[in-house]
Amino acid sequence: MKLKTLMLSASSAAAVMLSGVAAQAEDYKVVILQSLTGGAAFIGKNVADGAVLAAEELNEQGFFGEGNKVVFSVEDDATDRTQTLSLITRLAADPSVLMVMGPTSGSVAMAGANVANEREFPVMTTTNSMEVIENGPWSFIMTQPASITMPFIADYTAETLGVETCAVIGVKDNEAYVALQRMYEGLITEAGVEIVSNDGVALADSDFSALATKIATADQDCVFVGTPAAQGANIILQLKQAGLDPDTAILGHNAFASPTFIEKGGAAVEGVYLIGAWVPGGDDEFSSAFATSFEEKMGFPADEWNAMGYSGMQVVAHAVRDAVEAGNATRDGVRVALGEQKDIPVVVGTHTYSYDEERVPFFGMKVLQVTDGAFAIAPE
Amino acid sequence: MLSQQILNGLVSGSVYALFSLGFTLIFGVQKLLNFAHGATFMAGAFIAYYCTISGLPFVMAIGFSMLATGLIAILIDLIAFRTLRKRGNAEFPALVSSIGVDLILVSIAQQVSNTQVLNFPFGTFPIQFYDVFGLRISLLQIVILATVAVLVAALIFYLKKTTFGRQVRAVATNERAAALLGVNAQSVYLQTFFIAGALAGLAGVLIGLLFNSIQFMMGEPYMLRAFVVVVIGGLGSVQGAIVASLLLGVTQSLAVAYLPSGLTDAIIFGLLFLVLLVRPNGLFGDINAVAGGTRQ
Repeated sequence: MKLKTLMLSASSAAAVMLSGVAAQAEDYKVVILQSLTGGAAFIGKNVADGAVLAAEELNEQGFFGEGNKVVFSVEDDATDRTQTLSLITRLAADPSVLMVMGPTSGSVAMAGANVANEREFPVMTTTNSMEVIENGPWSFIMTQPASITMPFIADYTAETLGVETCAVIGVKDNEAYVALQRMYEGLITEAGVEIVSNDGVALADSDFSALATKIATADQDCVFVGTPAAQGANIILQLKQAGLDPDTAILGHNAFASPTFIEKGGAAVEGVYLIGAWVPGGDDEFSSAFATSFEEKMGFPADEWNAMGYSGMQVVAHAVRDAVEAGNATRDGVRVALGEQKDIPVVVGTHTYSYDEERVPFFGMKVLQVTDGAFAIAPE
Repeated sequence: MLSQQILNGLVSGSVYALFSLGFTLIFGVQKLLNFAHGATFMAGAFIAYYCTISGLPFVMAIGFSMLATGLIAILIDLIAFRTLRKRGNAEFPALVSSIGVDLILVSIAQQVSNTQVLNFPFGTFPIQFYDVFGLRISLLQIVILATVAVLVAALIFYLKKTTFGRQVRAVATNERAAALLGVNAQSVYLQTFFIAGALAGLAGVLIGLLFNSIQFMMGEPYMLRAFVVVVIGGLGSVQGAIVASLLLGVTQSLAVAYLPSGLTDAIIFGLLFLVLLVRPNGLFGDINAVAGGTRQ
């Protein structure tokens, strides 16, 4: 009887101790709200995949302290303003959600920023649009604005390659791509390069035969293709098939920094110049480890947007942890901490991510060239 | 460059014709706008892609894809349209129903492809170019033009000269009268959907091969153009759809070549409005013309 009483007491004590431990463990809820469907799914789905991997790894590593973890869920903004407004309103009304990583881009991101600032709810949109930052203190951008990224490739075009005339092909139905293209055009024009033609394609287009013939039969020193990787590879393939002069330099922006670009373009994309925040396969220990673990999990290699999602979640995690350590694990605490993030280790750019005083992100870029079927640092 | 652009336009237009023929055939016979036609087109490309990478010879992959998309189209009819048709006044509910089917097929394709853009492996079709009178034409373009010409001729022969064709025209003209004469309207509907699906599937494969790109949303721009084609050609007119497809392809090529590219869609829809002003029933349209018959 005594033994039974003793065992009961011991088990009760253990239960109390366990419940005490459980009570001390904290969950920090972050919602990854990206375009998993719709026109921006080529960006949002990839960002979400990278972000989920980062959150899983950080929890496994005990990044938030023993027993603590970030609880994440993935939601779809469907590249749709109404759905985004509805979701952010619902999430803002849930006090357990600390912040949202998203929405993805375009008017959807702006709509998200509007409601986030109204509800004092931190969001980190994937877009690079400065309008999101200007909308209010609760909305952040994850990717570098065109004013930071495009000088890398514009300078390379005008100064390193020394071209005099250029044809420009851009995406006409996505504001992030339009912003990048406009910035490039402005920079090379300032540097004295003449833009001889300027054409836009839609993200869902695949027939570029007329455009390819037009450019292949014209005279220019370079062609800038500002589209997503697979589409860009396809355009370049069709340009080459239309008989583009092999000496014409072909350039693109950071969207080309994806294994998809080489896989889809094959020999046609050999020699193409691009800028990349992500060097496929990684170019230091952290980024190489990410490339390996991503491919193991997903079954295909990581691209620029996967790497951005992974890096964005690192920044979010540091902000959450800083807010916790400051004793202010609230939405406002996370907002303040996010804006103060400096030199966070990431897998993109120069491998550190910082927000400046204006909450503009900086993580650098590299000029790359497709050489022997792989990305390599472009010759200076 | 002008003749090269016209050639580009004819090749694009011939594939539009394959796509639009099925769309206009269904409209002609059933008076239904099948918004799932773009998804059937996309499914054709996906099926042929997965057959090819699974090791099936490409020609067999095309055949299998056409068969599968024909069956998908039949399934769409059975699930999305048949019940509504029985109720009568099915136009608007069927439109919504077909949008639903489209969304389901697109979502499945997105999941299957993991939102990636796919392309047939290099070497699936020989990459060979010929210079003919200063024109640069690929072997694939020649094969596409020839295939489309043969298929269109076969379809017209089928509709005009065979018993099935007569049955189609009879049902399109007056389903009840056709039924009284012993025509099985349900069978006509199923065969029409099968042909439309198979043509859309083939168009998807050809576009995927020609432009090196297969993705879950690839049907959307073609749906928009199919609307333009059937309206310009004349609702339900097979000949009109063919002429309008070629006209659209060439107009699009010339607009890209000689005008700011942002104006391409404006030019295409401007052409649509112009045709509607001059010939409100389309180039080959009789308001009642349906797949070669006259609806009563």
